[in-house]
Amino acid sequence: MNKKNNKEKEIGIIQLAVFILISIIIEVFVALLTTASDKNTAEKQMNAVSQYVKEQCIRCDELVNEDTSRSLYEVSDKAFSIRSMLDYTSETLEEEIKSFAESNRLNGIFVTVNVEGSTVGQVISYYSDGNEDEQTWYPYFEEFGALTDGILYKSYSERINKNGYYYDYAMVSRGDQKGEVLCYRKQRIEDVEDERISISNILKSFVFGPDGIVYVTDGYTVMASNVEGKVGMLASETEVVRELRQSDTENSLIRVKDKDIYHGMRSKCRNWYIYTYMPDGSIFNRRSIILLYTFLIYLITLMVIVAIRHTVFKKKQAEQEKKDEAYRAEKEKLAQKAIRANEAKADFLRRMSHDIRTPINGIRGLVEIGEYYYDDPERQKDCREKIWNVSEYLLDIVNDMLDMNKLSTEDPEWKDEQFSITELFEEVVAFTCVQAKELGITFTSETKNIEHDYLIGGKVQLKRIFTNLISNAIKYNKPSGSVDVCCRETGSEDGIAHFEFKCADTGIGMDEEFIKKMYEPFERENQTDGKTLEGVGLGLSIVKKFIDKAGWNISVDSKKGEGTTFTVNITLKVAEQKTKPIEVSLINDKEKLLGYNILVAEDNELNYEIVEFMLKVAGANVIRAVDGKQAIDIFKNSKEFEIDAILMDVMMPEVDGLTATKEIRNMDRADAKTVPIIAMTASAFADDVENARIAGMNAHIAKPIDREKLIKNITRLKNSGGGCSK
Amino acid sequence: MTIKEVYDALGENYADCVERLLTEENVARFAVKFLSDKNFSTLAVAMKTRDAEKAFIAAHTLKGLAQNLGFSALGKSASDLTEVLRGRTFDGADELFKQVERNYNSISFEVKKFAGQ
Repeated sequence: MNKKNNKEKEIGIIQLAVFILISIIIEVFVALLTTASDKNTAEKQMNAVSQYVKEQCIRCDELVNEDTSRSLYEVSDKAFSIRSMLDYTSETLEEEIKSFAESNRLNGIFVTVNVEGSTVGQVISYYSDGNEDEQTWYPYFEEFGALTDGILYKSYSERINKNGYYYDYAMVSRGDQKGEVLCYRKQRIEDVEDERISISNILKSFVFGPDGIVYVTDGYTVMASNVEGKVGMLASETEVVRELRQSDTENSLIRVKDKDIYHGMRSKCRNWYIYTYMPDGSIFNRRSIILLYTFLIYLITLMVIVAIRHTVFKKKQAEQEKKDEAYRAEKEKLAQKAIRANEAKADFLRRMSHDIRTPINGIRGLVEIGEYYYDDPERQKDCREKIWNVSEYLLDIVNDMLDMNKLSTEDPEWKDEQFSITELFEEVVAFTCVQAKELGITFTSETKNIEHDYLIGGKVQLKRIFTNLISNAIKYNKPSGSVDVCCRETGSEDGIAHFEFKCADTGIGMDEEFIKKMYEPFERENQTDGKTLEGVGLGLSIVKKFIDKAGWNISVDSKKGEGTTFTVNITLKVAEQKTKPIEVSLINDKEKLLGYNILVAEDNELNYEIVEFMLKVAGANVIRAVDGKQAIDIFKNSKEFEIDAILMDVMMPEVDGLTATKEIRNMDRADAKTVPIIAMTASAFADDVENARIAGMNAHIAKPIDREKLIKNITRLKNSGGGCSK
Repeated sequence: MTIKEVYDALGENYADCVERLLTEENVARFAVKFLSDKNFSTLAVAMKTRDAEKAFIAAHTLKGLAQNLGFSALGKSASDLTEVLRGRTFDGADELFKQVERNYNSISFEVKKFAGQ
């Protein structure tokens, strides 16, 4: 029991381990799938954001450019205008410049002249409403001077960013001599970059994903971000941006680490760098949920499976218990049956020992009497007859037992053969009426309405049924009682004939209790008058087995103390031969076998002579074989159908009768299967008869050979076509 | 002495025998011929030499012969002996053989008397 429990525990642990392993595999698989999917989604999202931001940057850039262009155009235009208007030699040049600047909304005008040998213009007069002076613009004069090299009609304009101001300036050549006129307009950057064109505003209130962050930098400074307070800070201050920058890949998702883990990408648009990233917790949120759900589903599925398995197991267990219960009940039943059988057998042995001892004692007694009256032939003859009868009775008992044993261990062998039901009936009546006569029982028999006399069926078994029922009726009768037997045809159709066999006696009858078990072996009704019954209780068992095998039917009507009537309903196939075979007159034996060629296989000279005499008297030609081998050779060498019948002694030297019969039946010739073969033997046991039939013999004649019976058998078999079942 | 008297002396059923063999002459002929049949002597030798197979066959044949000739007593004793020898053992066979011998000798004695006259 402990071993079983331990084994079950082990199995449980293994199962649990397997479940866990499967769940891990599933989770890993799902994790891998969802990770890839989430990353893909995040990348697409970030690409979309980057694209949007790029578009916004471009839009801002273009707006700024447009504004710049417009302003620069205005300033250039102003510069060209003033250059033509100015009297460069006037002593009031400075006032003129100032007046022009103020009227044209310029923050400053500078006029230069190129000194000989230098490309850089010297400022001769200027106006500025701010802190700008010659030094402020010197580098630009130098650059312009280098570019134009005194060409009179060149101009240059630009917007520069200085100290929080945009300076839109235009520089034009003076026209009268080498030198420049510079005009500029100055605006505060924040005034210029309003919400419409400010790049820092493109991501204001921009939300992307849960916790998604976007930075737009110019490479150094954060120009725009959807995170408050980040505009203006250095791009390098953010670890994620630094790492993204270092990765040097654009438009693909990479993993970066700060305090948390992020996935992000970098892209470029004109002079802007766009960084988009999200924390892994946000990117893979869906993965976590899916994993959780997967796990829950797996768990639920597992529980369902376990529940189903448990239910099925319980059901199987219940079924198994039911089976075990049924098995125990069956065993109990069999045990009871075995006990009853043993009891019946013990009873049988008790009775058998009595039933066998009684006649044996009788025989011994008779032998003693015979010995005592050794010189009284009449007494001796009487003793011998009685001994013979008693021994026949003993033989019956033993045959019954052997047959019953055979029936209980193997299927009753059934040979369908052609026979006459009236002949069979009369045969049985012939010897059973003698039994009845000896016991003082009145015996009557009749056949009625037999339209189909020749039938095909289990002749041997039917004979046994008749015999056993009639014998029982005689055996279990009362002094001066009676037995009436009747066999009648009750109907026919489509080649099938129905018969009813009735056996009624005025015997001891059977009570209800016994009727229930009367077909069981060794069961016998008890007589109330104290008389010991003969028989071993197998007759009815044998009858029932045969009837069941044939598919027939038996019924009984019995009253204890009054008598019993058995009725057997029989169904048999009608033989093709519609008419009875030619009845050979028994009166003139000389003609009965006239023209018949009969092969007699008999090793004993005297036995052969007796049989030869019997056959020759009936007109037959007799051919002798001294053993089985010779019989085979003679038949083989004969013409087909030349030999009309074979009488075969069973026990012969070299090749015995059974072997010879088998050989003949297996020969390849037309008459091999049809030639009648009759066994002649001193043995008349059921086994011997059966062995002869199995070998292929048609009939069995026991010694002493009855001439009439012999002739009758030969003619009957010859006329019916002989043949064997094989 | 007639053959009927032989059968009567042996306590056998002459009427039954003649019915089967048809005539008194046939019965007499076969009864006398019985004396030259070797099966009894073969049986006797086999019993002595303990050859169960030969003894069985001889007893069986003797039984058949006796039955055919209406010697029922011999047929009976030979049958009893045959059944014991069927198992190829000699358990109880000697006693039974003695009975066969007695029966055979009775027949032999009476038939010889008949044949000798």
